[in-house]
Amino acid sequence: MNDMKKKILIIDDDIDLVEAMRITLESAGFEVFDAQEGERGLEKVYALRPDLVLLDVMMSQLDEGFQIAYKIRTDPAIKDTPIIILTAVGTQTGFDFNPDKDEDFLPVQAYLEKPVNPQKLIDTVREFIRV
Amino acid sequence: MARSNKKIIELPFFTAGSLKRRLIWLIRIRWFAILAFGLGIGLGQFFPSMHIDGFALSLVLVLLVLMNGLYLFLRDRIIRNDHQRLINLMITQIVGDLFILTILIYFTGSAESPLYFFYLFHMIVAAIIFPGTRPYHFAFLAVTLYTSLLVLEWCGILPHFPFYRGSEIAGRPEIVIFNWAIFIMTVFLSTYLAQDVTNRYRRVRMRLEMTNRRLQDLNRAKTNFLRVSSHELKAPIATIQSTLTVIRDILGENVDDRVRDMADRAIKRTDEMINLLKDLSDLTYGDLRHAGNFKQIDLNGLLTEVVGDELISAQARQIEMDLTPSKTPAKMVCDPEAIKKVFRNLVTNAIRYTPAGGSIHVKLENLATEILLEVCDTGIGLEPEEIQQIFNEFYRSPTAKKLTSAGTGLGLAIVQRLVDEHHGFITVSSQVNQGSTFQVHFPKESVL
Repeated sequence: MNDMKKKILIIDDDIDLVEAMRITLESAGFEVFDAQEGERGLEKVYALRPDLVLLDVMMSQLDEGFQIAYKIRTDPAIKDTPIIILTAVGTQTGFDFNPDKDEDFLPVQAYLEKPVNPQKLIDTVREFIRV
Repeated sequence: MARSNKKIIELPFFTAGSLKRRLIWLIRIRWFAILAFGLGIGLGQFFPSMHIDGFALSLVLVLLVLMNGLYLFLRDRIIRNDHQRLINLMITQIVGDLFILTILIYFTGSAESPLYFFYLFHMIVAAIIFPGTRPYHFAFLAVTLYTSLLVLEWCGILPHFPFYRGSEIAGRPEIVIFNWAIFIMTVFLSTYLAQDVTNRYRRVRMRLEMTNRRLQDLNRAKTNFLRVSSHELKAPIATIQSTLTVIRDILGENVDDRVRDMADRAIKRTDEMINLLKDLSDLTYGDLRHAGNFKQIDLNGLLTEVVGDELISAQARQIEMDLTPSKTPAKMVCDPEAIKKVFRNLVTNAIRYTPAGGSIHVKLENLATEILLEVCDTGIGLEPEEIQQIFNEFYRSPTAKKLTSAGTGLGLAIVQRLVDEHHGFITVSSQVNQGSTFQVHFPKESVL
């Protein structure tokens, strides 16, 4: 039965937020994995082949999330993995970032603004997860 | 720091442009002086007690006209920013004037001539224009020229041109020496006084410049601190809210109702906090913005979008809200995100402070010189003394506080700031319990 569960990988350095999202997603029947840092997360994408990746933008580097999304999208082996980007509240992040514009060359499935409401998180994940 | 100080002191008028304006000024004054001298020569002929050598003086004037024409020609040929050449031209003019003046004095009686007062003009002009010891060089030159003239005449090397018929001044050394001594004192003293005043002015101006630069740096540092800290505070509060929401919505089935209620209260407070942090980072918005964000856009579109978004919350409170767009497109060069924030803050304020059953009229007008936004509500209104304060950070009127806990007190401060950045201004009229009207005036040639 466990093997049937959809796998979600959360890449975010905020372990408390990861925990909140884990409980939320597990309650909806997903299997949740996590990584606290971009490169480690990328390794897990290869190892686990998750059905969806939740990706934080700002980790140790300002645009670390975008870098990881770019790496996922440019490797044919994993490029079809759905990605949901998590952004900090407000858009004043200090670097140019415009979802409407950037989607053209960085096709991610959705952007979610923190704080993420649990029901909204579940709905968005269900909408975009690989079937 | 010390280096740039010195540089400002060395520059007589800070820029080559202002130096060039001084040159024009000097040339123009000289034309007037020439005219006045010409008239003087003519008038002098009518006074029998005066002896005026019209021919010699006219020749000198013609020479002066030629010289002034040459200055004008040179000034136009000199490149605007060639500082050194502009200064050289200025020096040439002053030296040339001193020589011409000495010749005029010679032909009007030397020791008898009243024209030596004109040396003082040049002392004052030089003292205003040049810092350092240069004005004293001119003073020394003027004194040398005048003294040489007197000495050469006294020794009989130059013939005397009497000015007043029958005057004995030139023949009485004690008068000549006395006048000469007073003249020297006046020349040096006026140089000293004029330069002292100018130097004081220069120092004050320099200090203002320095203070201004320092304040700008400090302001930037403050804004940056505000931006970074509001951002750093957002991450934990967002996580706190997510955690609490998980307790309430996901784990809530297994916990006591009271726990759920407490989580709910805490979530509401984190909402307030998050709104506050968003507003704080909006206050720093202008400093972060890139110039590329500015474009020409019809404000009607932005306003329609904002009013459309907020219509639901107005209806939820049984408030009627309508929008009257301008008859002609209200195009303006602006940062659309900033203008949307202005519109949104004013509209949500109107909704927030208007009781159920009220109405809000939003209007955009495209006038001759400005684009005018008007948000008119039938809300709680403001006391006259409150109007002064509503644009201050964190100010909320007592009535507003009583009505709702929502609102950070930063909204209008943000509006004010964004409108300032577009060179506009805001006017407010209001009556308690009748309503308020906010008008935002954007000047049309708001090209930033």
